[in-house]
Amino acid sequence: MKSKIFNVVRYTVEKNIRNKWFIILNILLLLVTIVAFNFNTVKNILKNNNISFGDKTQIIVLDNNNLIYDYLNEKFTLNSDIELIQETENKEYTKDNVENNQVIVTVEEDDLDVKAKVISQEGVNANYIQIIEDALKEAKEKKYASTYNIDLDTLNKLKEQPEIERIMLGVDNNNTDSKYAMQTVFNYIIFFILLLILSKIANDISQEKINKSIEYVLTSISAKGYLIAKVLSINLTFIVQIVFTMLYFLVAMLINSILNMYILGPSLDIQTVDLTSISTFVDTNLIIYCIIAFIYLLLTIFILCIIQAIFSSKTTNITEAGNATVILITANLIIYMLSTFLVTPLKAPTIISYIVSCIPIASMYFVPTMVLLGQANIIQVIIATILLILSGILLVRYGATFFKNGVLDYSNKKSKKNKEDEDVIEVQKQKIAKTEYSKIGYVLGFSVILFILLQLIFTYILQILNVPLYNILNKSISLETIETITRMISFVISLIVPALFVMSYSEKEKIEKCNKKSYFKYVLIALPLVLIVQIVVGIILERIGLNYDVLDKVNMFNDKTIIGKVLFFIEVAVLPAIFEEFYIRKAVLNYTKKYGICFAVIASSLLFSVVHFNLSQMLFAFIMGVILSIITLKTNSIVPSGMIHLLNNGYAALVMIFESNNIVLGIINIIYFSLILIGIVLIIIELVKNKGKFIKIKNTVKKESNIMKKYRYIFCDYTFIIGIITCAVLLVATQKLLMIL
Amino acid sequence: MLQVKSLVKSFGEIKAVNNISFEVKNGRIFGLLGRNGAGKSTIFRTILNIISPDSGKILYNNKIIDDNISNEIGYLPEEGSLILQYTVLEQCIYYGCLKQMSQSRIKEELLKWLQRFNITQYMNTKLKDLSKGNRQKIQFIIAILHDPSLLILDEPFSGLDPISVEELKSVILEQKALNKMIVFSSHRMDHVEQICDDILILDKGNEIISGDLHEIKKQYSKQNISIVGDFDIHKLKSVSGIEDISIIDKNEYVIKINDEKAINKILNVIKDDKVLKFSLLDISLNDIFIERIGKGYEE
Repeated sequence: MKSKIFNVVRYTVEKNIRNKWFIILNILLLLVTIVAFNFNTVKNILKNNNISFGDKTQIIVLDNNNLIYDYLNEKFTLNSDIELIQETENKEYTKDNVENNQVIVTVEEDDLDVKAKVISQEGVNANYIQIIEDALKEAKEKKYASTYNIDLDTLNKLKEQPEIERIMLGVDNNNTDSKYAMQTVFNYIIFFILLLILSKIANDISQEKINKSIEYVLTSISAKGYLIAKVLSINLTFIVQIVFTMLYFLVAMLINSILNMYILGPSLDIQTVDLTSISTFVDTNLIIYCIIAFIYLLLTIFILCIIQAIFSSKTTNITEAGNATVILITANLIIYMLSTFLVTPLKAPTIISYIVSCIPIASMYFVPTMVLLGQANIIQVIIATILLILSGILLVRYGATFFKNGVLDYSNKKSKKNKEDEDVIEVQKQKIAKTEYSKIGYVLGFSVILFILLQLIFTYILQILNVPLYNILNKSISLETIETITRMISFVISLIVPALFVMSYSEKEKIEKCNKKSYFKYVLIALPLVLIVQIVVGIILERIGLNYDVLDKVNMFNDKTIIGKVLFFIEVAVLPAIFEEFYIRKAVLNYTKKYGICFAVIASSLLFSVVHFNLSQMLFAFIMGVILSIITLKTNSIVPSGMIHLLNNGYAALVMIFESNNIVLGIINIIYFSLILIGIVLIIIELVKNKGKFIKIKNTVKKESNIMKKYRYIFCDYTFIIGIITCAVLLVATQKLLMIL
Repeated sequence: MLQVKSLVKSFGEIKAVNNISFEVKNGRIFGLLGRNGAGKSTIFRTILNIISPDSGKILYNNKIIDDNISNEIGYLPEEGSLILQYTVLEQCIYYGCLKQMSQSRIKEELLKWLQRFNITQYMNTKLKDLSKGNRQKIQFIIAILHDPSLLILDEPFSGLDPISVEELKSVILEQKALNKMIVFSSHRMDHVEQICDDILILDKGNEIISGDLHEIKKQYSKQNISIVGDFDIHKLKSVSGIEDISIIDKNEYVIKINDEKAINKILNVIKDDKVLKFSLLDISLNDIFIERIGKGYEE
């Protein structure tokens, strides 16, 4: 078996390394490393030979009292890129008379202050600015010193930061910051490596599974051997890549030194790394840390690779395999976050962190860090290491079985039982029903999520735009009007998009349109019903304590201008009548209709009440939704329900607009109530004529015994559940908001 | 010699293989027949140690099959196991490595077999660019590349044109001449009939018929005699041993007999008449298969 594993590893590594993309990547890496390393050297060479990239920067200093020029001159003479010019004549600098490579520094002096102005066409090198700033500081200090007769040393002492010596008795706090940084860097490297290796493993195994290559492979090598071979080969490939990269660095450094030696001459100082700064915190802990971190990294990556392999063996396509990688990486991220909470240099570790640090995989994030911080104890490290190794062995042993089962299983789900033939058909029917009904859940849930998201996003975006718009329009329109308009836009968009989404799922069918005259009949019939509901619901809510009118009084009407009134009417009455009907009745009701009339009415009405996002309005909205849905189903048109919606909302809006005008209010009331009276008469006529049958709707869906069982599947869709949760949270939030108001 | 002894394997409540025993001898071809889902592939996968049996034993030369013995087995899976993104050479090297072959030997053998099938030009072509028939040939080459002494071929002829089928048959017969064990499955009776020595017919995991092909045929030989000639057919009615007489055409008859002695008797009766053709019709495997498994069978 060993030789087979060796063969597979050798073959896979060879194949990976000889892959053309690998070669291209490495050529690129080599080039980038060489260029990056030698960039400065090449620049120096060019500079020494008086070749430069573009013109020298001219810094023109207008400094009549010679406050900073000397300082600048001292600093800039070393830099061959800069030409420092002193000028005395103060002139106006504009866009036209300043060259691209010119920087003009004018110095001004107050009683106690030295200021400078830096004028240039484009951005100036931050270093130059820093030098100018330093020069100004120095000039300022000198001025202060001379004015108040303080010598410069005293002044410097005054400026010094007060010193605090921190002594923590419980933890080792030497070089805390650098240790912290090291820990972070180490963890980022881990994530990078994990991402690369795990995705590669997932990809490889998934590919071999999809092509059914694995079936042949397993006839020649045991699952365990194959698993080990795969993991080893991918890790080896990665190590080869690291070695190559190190080689490139070496090559780049050599080229650098060759360039320096032969072209610039050996006398020139080569940049050397300042080793003293590193050696200050090289202590025994650090060395142990490096060793332990390396061992833990190797072992844990091996374990994670095997887990990833087992995960990917269960997947049936590449996308799923990718998702499995994401799961594993996210899990690692969570553990890492946990480790940053539990292990810090400022706190002594608790018993929990000791326990967690012994768990395999988690130990990679805990043990090395604790060693680095001097918080680890020997028993803990030994236990963690033993557990890690043990879990690796167990995983290889038992994981191989899982892996083999998974990799040979191509079906999405195992068929559980093989009953009689009739049952098979029944089971399949159930499955079809499940996919169909969970799709309703998906469509409805996603549309609600769309609605909420769009509403939130647009409201915020447009809110930001309000004031700029107000300014652009030269304040010709009042801010309130703009706010109303933007609110309306977000309202319309957030209803249209989900409506279109739902409509894209509904089947097109020919609809027999009802007689247009009967539209009015239904509108008139509905009006008194709506009024009754309104009154009853109002009373009920009053009893419960949820004030029905809370939203109306708080939110809406405070604009007294004519435009404001018109806009208010449009916002409250017209737009909901069109677009809510469009979304709820046209899209949702039409889509759900084929799954049962009763279900469709209830679902669309629930959605209608949810869309209002107001606990006190929901009950009324629901009953109103039922009435409107029934009318829509009877007439096959959203026009009558839109009209009812318009009349209802419009009446409320008009009453609020003309609150103070008794005459108009009276006329509106008379019209409204006469309409209701006609409605009552019509209801009585219809009841007498049709003996109460006129509410009946033709049910197009066959009645099924276990229909309720099927509706249950709607909840199987996770978008639906997310939608419900979002709705609930938002509902509570708005309710809280209203309470506060 | 490969011995399968009372093999049982079930998936859930379905018994895929129910108490099957057979032997494959060196230099003989063993045919496994059955409808789709009869359990042929399951038996192969059990032999190859991909899945483990619920009970029963599989012995290769009296040894249990492990990783090392698997080097002596060549396998052609039914659904193909080629990684389509690989080239023919890469694929063969990968699978050859698994059989512990050296790369140089893999290349040598591969070239030999590609020449044999006249598809040498595809050596560096990606498998996804090959036709189904050519893929099947590559699959066969992979099975035979390491010169195994046991060849397991699951539906080797599927997707091949008639000429390629003949090519493949000749290769299989060559291998037989090299004293190798060959097991293959098919649902094409004609292929099985032409090259098999022993057969096993399976239905829903149960053994229906097994043994030497010729003996099975003899067992089922309710022979038919085809006679073409101008004579009075009613004369034959008195002859004993005749089961049925069917008239195919004018002057053409098929007579079903249940006794071999009847042949001579019939000859005696009609020897003076004008007989153009008198021939013994052999029972085909297809007939046996349909008779035993049912008329519902279609290819």
